[in-house]
Amino acid sequence: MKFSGAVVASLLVIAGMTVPSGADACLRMKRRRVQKVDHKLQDVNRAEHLLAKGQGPRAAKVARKRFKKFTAATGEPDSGKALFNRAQRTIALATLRSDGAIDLGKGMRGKTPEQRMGNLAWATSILEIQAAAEPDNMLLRTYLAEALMHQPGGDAQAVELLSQLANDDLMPTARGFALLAQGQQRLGDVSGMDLSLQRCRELGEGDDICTVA
Amino acid sequence: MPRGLFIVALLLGACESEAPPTEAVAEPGQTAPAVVEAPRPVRAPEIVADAAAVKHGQALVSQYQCNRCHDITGVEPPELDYDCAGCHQQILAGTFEATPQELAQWQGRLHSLDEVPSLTHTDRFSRVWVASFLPDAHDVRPNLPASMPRFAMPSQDAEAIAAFLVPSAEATAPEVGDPERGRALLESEGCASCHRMSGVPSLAAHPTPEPLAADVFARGQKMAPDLRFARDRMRPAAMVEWIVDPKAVKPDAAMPALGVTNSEALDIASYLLQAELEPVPVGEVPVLPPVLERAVTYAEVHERIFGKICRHCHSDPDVVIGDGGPGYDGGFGFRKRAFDLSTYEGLRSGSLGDDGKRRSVFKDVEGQPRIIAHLLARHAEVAGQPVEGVRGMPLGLPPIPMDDIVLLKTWIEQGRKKGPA
Repeated sequence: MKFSGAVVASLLVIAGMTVPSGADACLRMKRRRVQKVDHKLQDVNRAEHLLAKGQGPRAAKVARKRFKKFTAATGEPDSGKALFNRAQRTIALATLRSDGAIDLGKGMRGKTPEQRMGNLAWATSILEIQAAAEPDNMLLRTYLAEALMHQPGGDAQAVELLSQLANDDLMPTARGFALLAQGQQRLGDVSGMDLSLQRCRELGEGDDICTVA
Repeated sequence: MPRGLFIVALLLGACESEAPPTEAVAEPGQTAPAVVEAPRPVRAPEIVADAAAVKHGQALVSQYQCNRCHDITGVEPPELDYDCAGCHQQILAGTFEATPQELAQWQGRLHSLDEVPSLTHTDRFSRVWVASFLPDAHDVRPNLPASMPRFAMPSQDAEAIAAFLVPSAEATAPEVGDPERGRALLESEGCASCHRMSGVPSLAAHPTPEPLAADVFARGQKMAPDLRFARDRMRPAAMVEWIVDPKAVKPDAAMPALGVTNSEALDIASYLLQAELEPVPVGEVPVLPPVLERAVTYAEVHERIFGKICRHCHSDPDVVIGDGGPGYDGGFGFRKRAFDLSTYEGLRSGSLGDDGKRRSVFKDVEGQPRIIAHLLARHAEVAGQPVEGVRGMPLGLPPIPMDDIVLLKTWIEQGRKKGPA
C-alpha cells in the first residue's frame, strides 16, 4: 500500500496522543465506573415523562427503541422485566390515548379503523395482564380502568374500579379522578362527575387534566 | 458478703435467686457510690445451646435480614442492593456507583449506618439477654444514630436466633472484685470519655492514661454502649476478658485495650454488675407544633422527608429497578406492605394492612393521619414510651424532626396536592 508508512506513523502518533499513562487510565476507569449510565432506564424514564406531558406518540417511539419485542405479552424473562413492563405499559397507554392511531410496527400501523381497533385491543390486553400480575398496584388499576373505557360496554366496570379507589382514598392520580368523571358522565351520573372533577382539581396538577370530553 | 460465698451463689444460683441487698456505706467526706454489695438476681450459667435451635436460628437470621446491617459469622453478606450498611459505607468512601454530584449530595446527608456492630464472637453475650432484646429492642449505644429496629419477632424466633449467636456454654463466673474500686477505675482509666453509664452518679470523664489516636477515639465514642446494660448483655466472665483486651475477644472491637490488669477488670466488672441503678428515665415526647400558615408543596415534602429517608425502605421495585426495601417487599419479619414512598402516586396508593387489603395512609390513627402517627410514634419510642400498635418510623433511625413532621401534616391538611408537573 502506497501510504502505508504514513498511515502507520499517523496511527502511532494518534495512539501516543490517546493512550493515557497508567495513572490516567486508572482515573478514567474510575470515572467511567462512577458515570456509568443505564441507557435503557434513562429512555424508559424519558418515555414516561413524555407520556405524562401528553406526548404519547413520542413516548411510544422512545420506549420501543429499547424493547423490540414490546408486543409480547410475556415480557422479558431476565432481570430487565420490570423495565420492560414499564416500557410496555407506556406504549399501551400512549396507544389508548391516541385511540389506537399510533404506529406500533408491522400490522399495527394504526392507520385503518381495523388497525386502530387492533392496537386498542392489544393495549387493553397488556394492561389487563399487568394489573392482574400486580393486584396491589393502584396505579395499574387506574390504567386498567382507562383501558376498559376504550372497550364497548367497559364504562361500568371502569367506574366501579375507580369509585372504589376514590371511596377508599386510594386514588393515585388526578387523571384517575378525571377518568372516573368521564365514566360517570357516560353513565349519566352528573353529580358524581362534578364531585370527581372537583377532587381532580384539588390535587393541583392543572385544570386541563380535569375535564371530560 | 464474703467472696467465697458470692462465688458459690453464682455457681449454684438457680434461675432467679435473689440475695437481699445491703446498704452501701459512705466514708465520712465521701460521696456514696450507691453500690450494693450483694449480687443482683443471679441466673444459672447458660449451657450449650440446642443444636437444632442453633441451626434454626441461622436460617432465621437470614430470614430477618440481619445481614442488611450486620456482618455475621456464618452468614453471607447480601448483594449490595440489600446491603444497607455496605451501601452507606461505599457512599461515604466515594466508591459507590454514582455521579460525583450525587455522591456529594448523599455524603452530606448520610449520618447513620457508617458504623454497625458486627455480630462476630457473640459468645460474650448472655443468650437470655439476646432473646429478650430482639423482640423489644431499645437503644444501647447513645452515640450511634441508628439503633436496633423494633422487629415484629415472636419470642421463639428470638430464642432461636439467640441460640445461633450464643451457642456455647457460659464460662465459670469470675471471682468478685471491689466494686467501689471498679468505679474509681472506670473514671481514672478514661472509660467515661467514651461510655456513659446511666442510672448511677455521673462518672468523671478523665482522658485515657495513654492518649488514643483520633480515629480510634472517634470510633470508640460512637460505638460505646451505655454501661448500665452491660450486666444484662454480657456474661460476667466474658465481661472481664473484654475489659482486659477487647480485641482479643473480638478483633474488630472499637474499644482499645487500656492496659487494665485482670484484677482491675474484676473490680470494674463488679461495679458494672452490682452498682445500684436508678430506673431508666421516661423521656418527654415532643409535642407536634401547629400546622404552618404558608403553602407547602409535595416537592418540598419529598425533598425533606420521603426522598431523603423513607424511600430507602419503601420503594416500588419497578420504579427503582432493584430492591423495594423491607417496607415494600417485606423483611425484618414484617409482612409485605407494598408501600411506595418514592413517588407521589405511591404515597396516595396507601399500604397493605394486616388483612392484606390496601388502606389509605391518611386515615386517622391515634388522632392523626396514619403516616403522621407512625412518625410521632418514633419520637415516643425514643422517649421510652412506645405506642401500642403503631410502630415508630423510620425504623431504628433517629426520629424525623418535628419541623419536618409538621411540614408533612400541613401538606396533608392543604389537600395533599401534587402540584403542576
